[in-house]
Parts: sequence; structure tokens; C-alpha cells
Amino acid sequence: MDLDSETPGAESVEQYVQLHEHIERLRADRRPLPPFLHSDDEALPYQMAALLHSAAPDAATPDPEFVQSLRARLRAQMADAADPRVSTSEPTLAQTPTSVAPVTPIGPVRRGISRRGLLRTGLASAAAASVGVAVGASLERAGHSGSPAKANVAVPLVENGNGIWVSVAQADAIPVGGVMRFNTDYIVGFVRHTGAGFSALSGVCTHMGCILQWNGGARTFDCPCHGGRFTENGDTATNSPVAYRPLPPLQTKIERGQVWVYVVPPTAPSQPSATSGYNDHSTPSGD
Amino acid sequence: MLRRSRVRQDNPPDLHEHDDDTVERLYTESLPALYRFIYSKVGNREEAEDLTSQVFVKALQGLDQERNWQSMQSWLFQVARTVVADHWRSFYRLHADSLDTMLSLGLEVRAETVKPAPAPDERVESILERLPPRYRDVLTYRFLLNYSIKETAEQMRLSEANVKVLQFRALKKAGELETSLS
Repeated sequence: MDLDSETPGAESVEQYVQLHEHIERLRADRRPLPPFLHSDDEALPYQMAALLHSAAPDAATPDPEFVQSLRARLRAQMADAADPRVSTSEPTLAQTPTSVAPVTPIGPVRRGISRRGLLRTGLASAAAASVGVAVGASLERAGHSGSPAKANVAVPLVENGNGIWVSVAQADAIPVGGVMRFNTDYIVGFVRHTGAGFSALSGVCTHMGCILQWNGGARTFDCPCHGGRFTENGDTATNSPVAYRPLPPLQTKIERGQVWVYVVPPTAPSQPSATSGYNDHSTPSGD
Repeated sequence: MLRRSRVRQDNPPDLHEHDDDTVERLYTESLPALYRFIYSKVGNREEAEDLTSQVFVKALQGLDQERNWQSMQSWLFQVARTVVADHWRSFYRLHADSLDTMLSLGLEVRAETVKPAPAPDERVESILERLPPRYRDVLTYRFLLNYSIKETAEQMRLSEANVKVLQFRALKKAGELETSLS
């Protein structure tokens, strides 16, 4: 077969067939079966097939029905975000036992690491790491007139309006002096019960984003990666090899006997795999 | 390391006073191009609709309406690029969820300089131009003219099996060209 004078490289009949079947799905405008690929290089022919198919006549024009339904969905999303009854109860840094709850606790109280957290450890730590970086950026911003490392420790990790309240523990399950780790979708943190009430800190090392371990003996948060240590208030411990940025606080409140933490909301439901199978987060959107 | 490269405007343009209007306009004006962009990356309606929805839903969550119009559109396309990259990455690698990473980094990573990609048609044209003739032919028959394998085989005087091999190699070559162009 003299199709090509160039060296074709390692190819197999299976590859021809797999790509062919993929192309036939595209021609039918249907979602192809996920191609079995190992690398960027192997993905290239598939990506080119997509590109070329998009240049076919009449392709790549959105279906009017789709345009309408997505518009409606986005409007609903905007309305939820703007509705003060459901989303903008002002969280405060300290506990606010008297505030009226916009949300109700749903599902089991979380203790320690959730099943979902275990399943998605890799993702959780990657996301948590990035949150750490983001906080670094916001601290820098907050501290533009002074030393970034010391600037405005009280800037919460999740600013008002950007998060949701999630209950992470039964308040009476954490004795005074107790520290408990919790996992939510994108935030791993620690709840502390101090003499003054409950508070929460991000549980991600501000150095490289590793997940911290609570060291009950020394009462420090220790980083397993590079040995960084933080006091229970989130400042770099004196025995830490390097001084890092303090751990950003998370807003907390006590309501209905639960400790609530203001965290990054789960992603939108357009990725079924990322959201199916759990409903133990309450969201303030009310739907 | 991320650094904040701009100073927040305290007196932004009046855009953010009309949230719904702004979003509506952003949606209406950006949807066709965004959809075409995503379609050119996935090549089918079902996935294009899924990903387009994802992009808008996620982009609106992080939309800073104090930014200027162009910057909001850039943001949309930046989210789209990341969504598409995640989509492809999910096929061959442990899912790293770079979109989530980006969203949690928030608006700081928004490059002011991001430009929409060249239109898919232009890219196709420039790729086809550079391909050896046989490759160009097989892709033209199969994709632009929508010929079946059988029809393409007849036109090119090849066996159907040969057409499958040829289209594979042509797409592979196209991918290499595309990579070297960008």
C-alpha cells in the first residue's frame, strides 16, 4: 500500500478502526465513545477530526432550542445569585448564634474525611493547593502597602458572596481545645474550639499546597511535604524550618448545634460524574 | 507565582450596574462564536452543548462585571479553553481539573491579552493547504463533502480499508501541522 512515503510510526489496525468509528459518530453529530488515548500526540488525530467536522456545512451552529434553554438556565443562576433571601446573608468571622439560618443542615454530620474526599483525594489536594496559591495572591493584594506575609491575616479564604455555608461538625462533638479536620469539595480545613468559640482555618500548607496534619501533642499543624509547621492560630510555628504565610481563616458560625463553615461551592451540575452520588451539601440556592 | 498585575478600579465603567443586561448581552453576543469554538474542538453537537453550558455556568460564577467588555469576553474564552482542555485530558490522563484550579484562583489569572482563537474555518483552510495532496483530498471528501468511506474510496480509487488508513494518517499529519503552527 503506497499511501504515504513518510514513516507512519507505530500504528495498528485498532487505531484506524477506533478513529474511524469516532469519525462516524461525529458525522452523526453524536457524542463519541471516549477514545482510548495515552498522550497528547494520540489525541491529535481526534482533535483534527473534530476541527474538520466543524468546518462541514451546517455544523457548528447552535440549535435554537439549546440556546433558549441555556439562556433560561443562566438566568436562573443569576437570579439565585442575586436573591438576597437565599445567598447574601452576611457571614461574620465569629460565630453568630442568633442569626437566622438561610439554609438547613442536610445529611449526616461530617467527621473527619468524607467518603467523597477519600475518593477524590488527588483532586482535593490539587484544588486545595490552588486555593492556597489564590490566598497568597489575595494576601499580596491586601498587603500592597506593607509586608505581604503579615498583611491582613483576617482576610477570609472565601469572601462573602463567593461561597456557601456547609455544616461540618456537631458543635458539641468538639470539646474546648479540640481540633477537627473537615473536607468539602474544594477546601480541606480544620475547625477549632477555643475558649472564645469556634474558628476554622484552611488545612493547606501555604508553601506548596500539601494537606496539613494536626499534631495534637505539639498543638501544631505539620506539613508532611517540607516540614512546615503552623500554630493552632495558623501562624508559622517557631520550630518551622521556614516562615510561611499564615493559614487563611474560614468564616464559621454556629447554628442548630452545628458548626458551619463558609466554603467554595461545589461545581455546577453539568458534570454528572463530579456531582452524582452525594447530596450532603446544602446550598443556599434553594433548588 | 501569581502576582496581581493591576490595580482594582474603584470607579468602574457603568457595566456592573446592569448585571442582567450585561450577562444577557454577553450571552447573546458570545454564544455563537463560543459554540463554534467548542464545536471545533469536539466535533459533535452533544458534547458541544454540554461544554458550552459548562463554560457559561462556570464563567458567570467568576465573572467580574467591573471588567471591560473585551475582558469579559476574554474570560469566557479562557474558561472555554480550559474546559475543552480538561475534556480532552480526561481521555488519557488522570483528571487534573485545571478548570477548578483556575476558578479557585479566581480572576487573578485572567490575562488581559487573551485573544479569541482564529476562526475554525481559517484554521482548517490553512491546514488543508499545507497537507500533501492525498491527505488533503481524503479529508476534504470525508469532512467537507461528507462522503462516506465507500464514496471516498471510489473517488480516490482506493480500497475502503485504505481510506481508513489514509484518513488516520492525514489527521495525524494535520495535527502535527496544527501544533507546529500554534
